[in-house]
Amino acid sequence: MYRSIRPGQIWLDTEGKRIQAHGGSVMYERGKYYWYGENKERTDGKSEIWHWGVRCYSSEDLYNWKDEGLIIPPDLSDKSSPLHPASMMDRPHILYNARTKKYVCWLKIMHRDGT
Amino acid sequence: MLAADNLLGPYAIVRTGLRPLGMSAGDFDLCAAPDGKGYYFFEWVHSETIIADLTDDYCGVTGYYSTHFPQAGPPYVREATAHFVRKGKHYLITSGTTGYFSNPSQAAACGISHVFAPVLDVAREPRFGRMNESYGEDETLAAPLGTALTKGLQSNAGVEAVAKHFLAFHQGAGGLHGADVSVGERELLEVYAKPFAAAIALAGLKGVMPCYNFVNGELVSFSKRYLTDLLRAQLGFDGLAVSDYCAIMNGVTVNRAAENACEAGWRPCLRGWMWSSSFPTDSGTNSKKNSRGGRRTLPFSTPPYCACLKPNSARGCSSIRLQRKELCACFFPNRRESFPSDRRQSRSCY
Repeated sequence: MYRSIRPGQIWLDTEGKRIQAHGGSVMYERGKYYWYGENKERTDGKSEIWHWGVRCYSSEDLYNWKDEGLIIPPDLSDKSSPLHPASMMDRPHILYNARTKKYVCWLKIMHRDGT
Repeated sequence: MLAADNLLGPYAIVRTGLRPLGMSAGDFDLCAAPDGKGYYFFEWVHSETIIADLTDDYCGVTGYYSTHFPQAGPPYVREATAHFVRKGKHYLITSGTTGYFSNPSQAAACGISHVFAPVLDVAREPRFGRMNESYGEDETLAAPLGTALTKGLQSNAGVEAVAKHFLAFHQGAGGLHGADVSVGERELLEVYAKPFAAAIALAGLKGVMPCYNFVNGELVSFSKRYLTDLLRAQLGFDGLAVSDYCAIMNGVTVNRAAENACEAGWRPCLRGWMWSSSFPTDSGTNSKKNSRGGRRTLPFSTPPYCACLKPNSARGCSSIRLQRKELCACFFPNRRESFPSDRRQSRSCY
């Protein structure tokens, strides 16, 4: 159990795995916080793997985070998909639309030429 | 964009390849206002911050948007905007465009060498119109807060804090700006000088801006008692003093504490001054030039000698001593006035 946030140290989830929620955001819903962000567990800077989907965690105290899995998995089959691991996907943001009752997620996709 | 019925998914792609408003869009945030309207905050890459309206389904932009914080380019352009609302106010936290390195302060990033803060005035005269600038009426709170800000500012290489307004600026008689302050020695030291003493001793304060007002009948800007004996000798300040806007010219035109501009310029030199703003013959033009780019150069200073600060690429300034004639020429290149003797008395200087 964590009772504090420890800057500069590796932060583990409730199962002892390293938290993977880079470029993350936190949402609050029905008594729980949700932290989601880029899953970089297979990114080493050498291969073409930029991301491995978007992973989400839940918590009631902001210290201890339970892994809720890949809420947006990578698309391994289609090389042209923005969700392919080689796609330079960053900074997922989710917004709840009360009108349509949908959770809408935007992803930033950078092209290989930097635009 | 993707959409789902539950926060944890499953998400399905709704559309791809949006180039919002025809712009290259960098790091961003999304938010919904209480009325349900959606907004998209993003960095128009290397240009400015855009806040765009979202369509009703939040899956696109309507074309209506506002622009904020325009800048010439990195590292000044803001990126990675995060928006939140707290107690009815909207906040943005943004980053400088420093390529994954931590941001220096904006002052450091812009090459500003002197930041005119903290305000260490102890505000005990509620009729004075600048109460809100200060840390309040308690000198024991102003001291650590001002010390902390000084440390923070000066932790950036090349940035010096200039604390102001030395001394008792907020206490002008009748709440009037620049009026005389009638105050006992002990109160002056233990209340009004205390935050300055703390920032000098505990944070190595590098700059002080004297006030516009008189203290016990002496114009502080020209005062040996307050700038030399108290600030330098007693409090141990050895940095630069920077005049408040027009304070030197005011010494002639408003305060009548010097007979002419030349004397008004000379007196503070004897008191350990440096020149600053809005004096057309010196750094008025200089600071304008420098606000457009490059490190600001401050042409004047330091006690007990008159010295001139010249720009130095390594640190900003270096000093050389000048003879009085050269000094006078430095202030008043088009005048033939000779410099007054430093022994010459003016009406209300001492």
